[in-house]
Amino acid sequence: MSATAGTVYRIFAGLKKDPLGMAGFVLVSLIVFLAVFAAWLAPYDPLEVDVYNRLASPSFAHWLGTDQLGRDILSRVLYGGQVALRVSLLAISISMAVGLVLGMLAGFGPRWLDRVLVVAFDTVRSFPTIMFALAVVALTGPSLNTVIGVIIVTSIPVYARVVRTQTLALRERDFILAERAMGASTFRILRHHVLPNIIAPLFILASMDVPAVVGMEAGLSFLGLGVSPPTPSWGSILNDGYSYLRNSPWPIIAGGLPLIAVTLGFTFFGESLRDIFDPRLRRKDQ
Amino acid sequence: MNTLLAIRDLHVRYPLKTGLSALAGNRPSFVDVVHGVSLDINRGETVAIVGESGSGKTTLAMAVCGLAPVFRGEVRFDGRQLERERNNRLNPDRKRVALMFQDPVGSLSPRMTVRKILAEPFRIHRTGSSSPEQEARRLLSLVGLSEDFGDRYPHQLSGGQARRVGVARALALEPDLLIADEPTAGLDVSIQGEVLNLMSRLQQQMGLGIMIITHNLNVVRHIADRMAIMYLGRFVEQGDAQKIFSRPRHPYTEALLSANPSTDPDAGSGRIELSGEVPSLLRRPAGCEFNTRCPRAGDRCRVSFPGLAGDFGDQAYHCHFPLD
Repeated sequence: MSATAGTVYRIFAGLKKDPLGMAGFVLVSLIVFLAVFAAWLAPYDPLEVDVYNRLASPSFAHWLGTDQLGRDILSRVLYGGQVALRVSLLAISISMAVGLVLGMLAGFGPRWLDRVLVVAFDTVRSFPTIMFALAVVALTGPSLNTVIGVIIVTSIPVYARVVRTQTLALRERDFILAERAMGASTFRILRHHVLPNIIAPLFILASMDVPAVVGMEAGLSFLGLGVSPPTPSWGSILNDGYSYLRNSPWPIIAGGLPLIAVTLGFTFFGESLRDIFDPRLRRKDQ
Repeated sequence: MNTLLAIRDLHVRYPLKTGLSALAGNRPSFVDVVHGVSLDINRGETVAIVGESGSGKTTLAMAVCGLAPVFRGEVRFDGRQLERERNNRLNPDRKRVALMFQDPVGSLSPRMTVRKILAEPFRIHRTGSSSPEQEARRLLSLVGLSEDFGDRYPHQLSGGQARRVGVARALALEPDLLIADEPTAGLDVSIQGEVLNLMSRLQQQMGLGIMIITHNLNVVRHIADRMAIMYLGRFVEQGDAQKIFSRPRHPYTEALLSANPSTDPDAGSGRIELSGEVPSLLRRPAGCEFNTRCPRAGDRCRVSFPGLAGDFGDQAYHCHFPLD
C-alpha cells in the first residue's frame, strides 16, 4: 500500500516540474469529469429533436449550436465523450490484460511458443485496421461491441510485443536466475518478479494509446461502422456535420475539438509519466 | 571423508545455431563452456575455483544449480544424481544447494523490500518453523543487519549490505552447500573481510560446504582448504590450497600465482608474463589447451591432452611437462 502512495506522490512531484504534463493531466481530468457527469451537465436530452431550430449557430440557449435535426450539440458531445471513454477503458484494459499474458508467455516460455506467438502478432498487425473492421462489420453488423472487439484484436499485439521485449530483457537477469536456483515456479517468477518490473511502462503505453483508440472509435463511427444512429459519438457528430458543412461549420468544430483535446491531454500526460518513471527515455533536446 | 558434492566429467554445451542453419557454414554449432570437470566437495570444506574471466567458472556454478545445460557427465549430491530440470520444488536436494550471485544488488528483485526478498525461499518451499516474515527477521539478525533494513529496497543498499542480504537469502533454507560467485567483487577491502568472516562463521555454525568462485588469490589464501585452477573450461590443476600455493605443478598455475601482487615489498615482482591471448572457446587448441601460451610446451602438447597426474585427493594436474 505504501508503495502505491509513494508512486502517486512521485507522479505529482514530477508533474509539478513539468507544466505540459500538468496541463495534460488537467485536460484528462476535465474530459473524464465531463464524460462521467454528462447526464447532470448536459443542458438538453441529446436525442431531443427540435426541427424549428436546425443547424443553429452557438447562442446562450445552445452553446455549441444545433445539428441538422435541431439536437443540442453540446449535449451530444458530452454524451459522445461517454461512448469514447467507455470504448477506450474496455478495449485498452482487455487488450492490455491479454497482451500481458501472451507477451510474458512469449518472452519467458519455450522458444517454439515465442515463434508461434510472434508470427501471430505480426499476422494480426499486417491487416489494415479499417479493412479488418469492415470485414467484421459485414459479418456482424455495426455496433459498439464490434468496435470494441476490433480495437481489442488489433491492440493485443502492440501490448504483447512490448511485454515480450521487456520479459526477454528480464529473463536472464540475476534476480530471476536466483529465483530459479531457489526452485521458484515459472508462475511465481512471472507474477512476483517479472510483472512488477514491466507494469509501469505498460500503463504509460496505455495512456498514450487512449487517443488512438478514441480516434479509431470516432473513425469507425464516422464511417457508420460504429454506434448506430441516434446514439451520439464524436465520430457520428463529425459525420452529420460533414453532410451539412455548407450550412453550418459548428458541428464539425464541436465534434473535432474534443478529439484534439483527448489527443493532446493523454499524450502530454503519458509523456510526462514516461519521463517520471524512466528518465533515460527523456527526449534529448530537454 | 564425507563427500557432499561429486562432479564427474561435467560438460556444459550451449548451442550456437539452431534449426537448419546448424547444417550450413563452417562455424561450429555449439560451444563447450565447461569441458570435462571433476571435483569433490566435502562437508565443512571450502573449495575455491580460480581462473581468468571467461574460463567457465560461473557456468560451472550454474550447472551445479541446474541453470546451465549439462551435456555430459554428472553432478551427484550426497550420492544422488541432481535432477537436471530447473524448477523442481519437489526435489528436496534443490534447497540444499544455495547460490550467491556475482552482482550483489542485481541478484535481488528490484521491486521487493529486503523483508520480502528474505521471505521468498520460505514461500517457495513452504517451510520454516514460523511465518516467512519472522524467518526474514531472524535472517537479518543472523547476518548482522538491523531490522530497519527489512523495509529497504535493493537500490537503497550499499554493496556490502546487499551482499549480506545475499548471504542471508542463500542460507535461509539451511543448505548443505553454498556456491558463492565472486562474493567479494566490487567491495572495499574491509567489507570483503567482513563478508568472508561472516561466511566462515556461518560455515562453522552450520557445517556448510562452500564452493567459492573468485579471481582474487588473496581471498583464496585466506579461506580456501582446496582450490582448482580453471582454464578454458577445464581444471588444469586442483588440490590442497597450501600445497598449490607453495609448489604449483602446472605452468598456468605458476603464471597465475605470480601475477598476484605480493604484500612484501622486498619480494620483487617475479611475474611470469604469458604471451598471446586466451584462445576462443570456438577454436579450442588441439592437445593441451594451454599449449599456445605455455613457455614449456613441446610437440606432445600440441597433439595429446595430458591425462591426470598426481593424486586426485591431494594435488593433481594435467601437464606433460610439470614443474618440479
